[in-house]
Amino acid sequence: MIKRLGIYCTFSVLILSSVFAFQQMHLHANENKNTVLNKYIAGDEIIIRVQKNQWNGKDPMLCHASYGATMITGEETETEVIFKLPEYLGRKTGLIDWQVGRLDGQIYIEAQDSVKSMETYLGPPSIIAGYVDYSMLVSIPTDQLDNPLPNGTKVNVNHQFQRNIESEVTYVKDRVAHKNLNSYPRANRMLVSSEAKGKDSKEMTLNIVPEIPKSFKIFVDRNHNFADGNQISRLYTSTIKDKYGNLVADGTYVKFIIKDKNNNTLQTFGTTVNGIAQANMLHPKSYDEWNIKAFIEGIAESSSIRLIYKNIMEDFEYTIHEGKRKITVGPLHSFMNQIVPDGLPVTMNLYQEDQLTLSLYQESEDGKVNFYLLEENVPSGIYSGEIKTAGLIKKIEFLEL
Amino acid sequence: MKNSSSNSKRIIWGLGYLLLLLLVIYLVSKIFSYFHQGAERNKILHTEIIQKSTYRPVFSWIETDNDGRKIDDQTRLSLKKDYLKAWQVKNTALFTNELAGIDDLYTQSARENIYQLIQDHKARDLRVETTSLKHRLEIDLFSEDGQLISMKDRGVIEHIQVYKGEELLQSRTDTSDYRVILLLEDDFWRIRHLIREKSSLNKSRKVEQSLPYAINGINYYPQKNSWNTFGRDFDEEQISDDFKIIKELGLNSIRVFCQYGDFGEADLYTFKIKRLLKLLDLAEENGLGVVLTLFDFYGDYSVRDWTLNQRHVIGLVRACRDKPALLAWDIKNEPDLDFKTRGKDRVINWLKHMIDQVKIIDKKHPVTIGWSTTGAAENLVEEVDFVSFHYYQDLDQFSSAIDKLKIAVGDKELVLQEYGLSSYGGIWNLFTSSQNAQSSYYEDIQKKIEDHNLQYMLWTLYDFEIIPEEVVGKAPWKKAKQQGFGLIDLEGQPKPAYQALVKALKK
Repeated sequence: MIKRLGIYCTFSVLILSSVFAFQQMHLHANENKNTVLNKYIAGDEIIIRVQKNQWNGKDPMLCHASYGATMITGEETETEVIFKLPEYLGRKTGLIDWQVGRLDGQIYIEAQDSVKSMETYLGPPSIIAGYVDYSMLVSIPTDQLDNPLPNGTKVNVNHQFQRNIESEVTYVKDRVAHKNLNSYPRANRMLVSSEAKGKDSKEMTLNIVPEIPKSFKIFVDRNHNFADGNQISRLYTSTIKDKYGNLVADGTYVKFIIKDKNNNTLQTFGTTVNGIAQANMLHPKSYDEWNIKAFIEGIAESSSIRLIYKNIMEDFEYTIHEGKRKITVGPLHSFMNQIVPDGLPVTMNLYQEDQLTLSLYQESEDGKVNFYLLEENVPSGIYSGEIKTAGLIKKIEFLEL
Repeated sequence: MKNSSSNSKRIIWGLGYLLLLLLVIYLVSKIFSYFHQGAERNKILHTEIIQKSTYRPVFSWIETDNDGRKIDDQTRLSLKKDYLKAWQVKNTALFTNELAGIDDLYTQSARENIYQLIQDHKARDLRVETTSLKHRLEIDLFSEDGQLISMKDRGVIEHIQVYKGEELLQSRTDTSDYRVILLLEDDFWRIRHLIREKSSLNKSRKVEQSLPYAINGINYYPQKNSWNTFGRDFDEEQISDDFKIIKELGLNSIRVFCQYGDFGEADLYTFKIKRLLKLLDLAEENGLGVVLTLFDFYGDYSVRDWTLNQRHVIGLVRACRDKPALLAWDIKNEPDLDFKTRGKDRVINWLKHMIDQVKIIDKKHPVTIGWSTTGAAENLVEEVDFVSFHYYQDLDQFSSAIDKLKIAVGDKELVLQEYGLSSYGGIWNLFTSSQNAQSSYYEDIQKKIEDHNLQYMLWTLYDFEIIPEEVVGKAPWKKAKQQGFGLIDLEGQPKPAYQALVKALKK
């Protein structure tokens, strides 16, 4: 048994010494002691022998390892006491201090020289196209027993972007290998993986999303330029791209802000499809001038355009019927003398000694509107009035009811 | 005759009836109060639970530029919280061999390591009482997405005690460097890898300090505030007057006690510290040196308490170390009395660590321990700067005890830190003492002290009205005795011992 152990120990010392030569930086000789630090490979059976004459006959061995301390009892032979570390202690890389009475020492357990798994993290998962943004690949190569490999272990980082397939080298530092992956000017996906000692990680995807879009233009598409309150003007943007020519993502929200001639604000919105957003707006009901500008809020804006909506009629007629309690407005003709489509608003206001006493509102039907001034609402007296429609105003100076 | 017997019968019946009535009322009230206790509405909210951390090691950051994303304060804060919690739950798990909290703070693969350790310990009836006392973190890598940290924890001081059943098998204090890799999972910074990379065994610090002059002093409590010097009735004028009396007696120093709980345990009360500093100033004004006794009325010593004890001692020593009146630190009064109940090794380990803590912070003043007997004073001779002991035994054995101790301590200075005789002579001690006995005691012992060339601090200036239970217990004979150790009686008149001492000192 002892012989076999001896062979085993020499063998591990041989392997270790070669490891030691390459990776001296990770091994910590104990400054306080002159003895050489004993090194093992994770998974080795670890046995510490204490000469019997240095032992008081009862002391167990205290072991202080990475995840905590424990105590082991020794086996006596004729000349020495053999302390066998529990298997779970020998499996983890790191320094173990042992102490038997006043005797103490250290052993260092190295990770195995092979990789079982590449624990890899990539983040952030999406970055912005161009030359500035980057993501970081973090890789912890670990051995069979879940020990991270020592510093200096070579890790290859592979990444594919369109036709580019590249492999870069990085080294484990602070027990972790990391590599920054720079963005490309084209928005697309990048596939990333890493490899150490022949073990590959799984594939990971890095999304390169477009940079913030540049300023864009807007256009209008309308049937006619009359303020008929009935037709629809379609507003749409030019193809919105970033400075590298990448289309903005579909569904980007574009807000169209409209200022009318009285400086009131109207707004409508659309979301982009293939870089173009469109939105609709109903024509105004009377003459108006619109200044329109579109925004991707906080990111980009368009140039502005100006639209004019002309009145649909220059004049209109009204009739005061007998008894003066019924007033008919119309027939109302539109820009081609056609009867205006139903729904044109007409307002009539009645004043008595410059005081507004009644305001009536109706929408046109077959080009006409009838106002009935009922006695309950309008007692007999002397009034004046006005009729408003399509931006025009007609006054009735004297109306005796 | 007959009449009187029927009268007495009537009285007995009457009394019996009364007793029965009282008993019934008592029982009914008990039942009534039983059904009216517990389950208070506000308990539903658990508002009464105040979380008080029981693990507070010394903590600091090493500021360096780390790889990856720049670390921000918020991350640091949560990292510190989770990382220390991870140590705490690991320490607790090792102590109780239960796994509470481990899953929150160690990743799935990392917690396996703790499981195995604990399984093994359970099987072998082992228990590890451990704590980490100091952490210094240096972040090396913070990944760009903020999900992974690789850092060093430098100079982690750990104390370990391994028990089998109730028996302490071995203990150890060491300092290690750890490599730690953490992942942010479920909003916890969880330990993924923990690797011990470097370590050294802690040796006690060997910077020795000596007393600036020979101590001829007295243990001091104000007469009205016995065992409560820094309480609500802290009276500067009274203390100053007392100091003048002490000075006139021909003494040069006092011993004062800082109680652990009274001073706020881990979080020192600033107002108590202020009073202590005031006392030190008053001592300086009156030309007295002060031996400060720490951890009075503390008696746990368990490893789980160490981080709190450490905070207490660090705070106190920092506050007082620059006061000119300060003579020496006395870590604990009569810790050997706790050997039996707490375990000698446990107490000794604790004392060693606290000596180290004082020595780290105050490199100028000597440190001692106020052992209760000459025999106990042979402990930790290496660690203390001078050896203090108390002597209340028979004076006949005084010389031999001192000679024996002198051999054990070598060339360390000796201070007889407490001695005295109660002048109480009453029913409780069968009139075996008196004021005159006390007086002649001083005549005797001062001679012996001189013969042995000892430094000394006698017990005490005043007779006390109030003796707290914590001092000698509830027994009235002990209390009565404890009241009479003063040189000045309860009326403020010097006792014969006072004159005897003055005479002895004048020689």
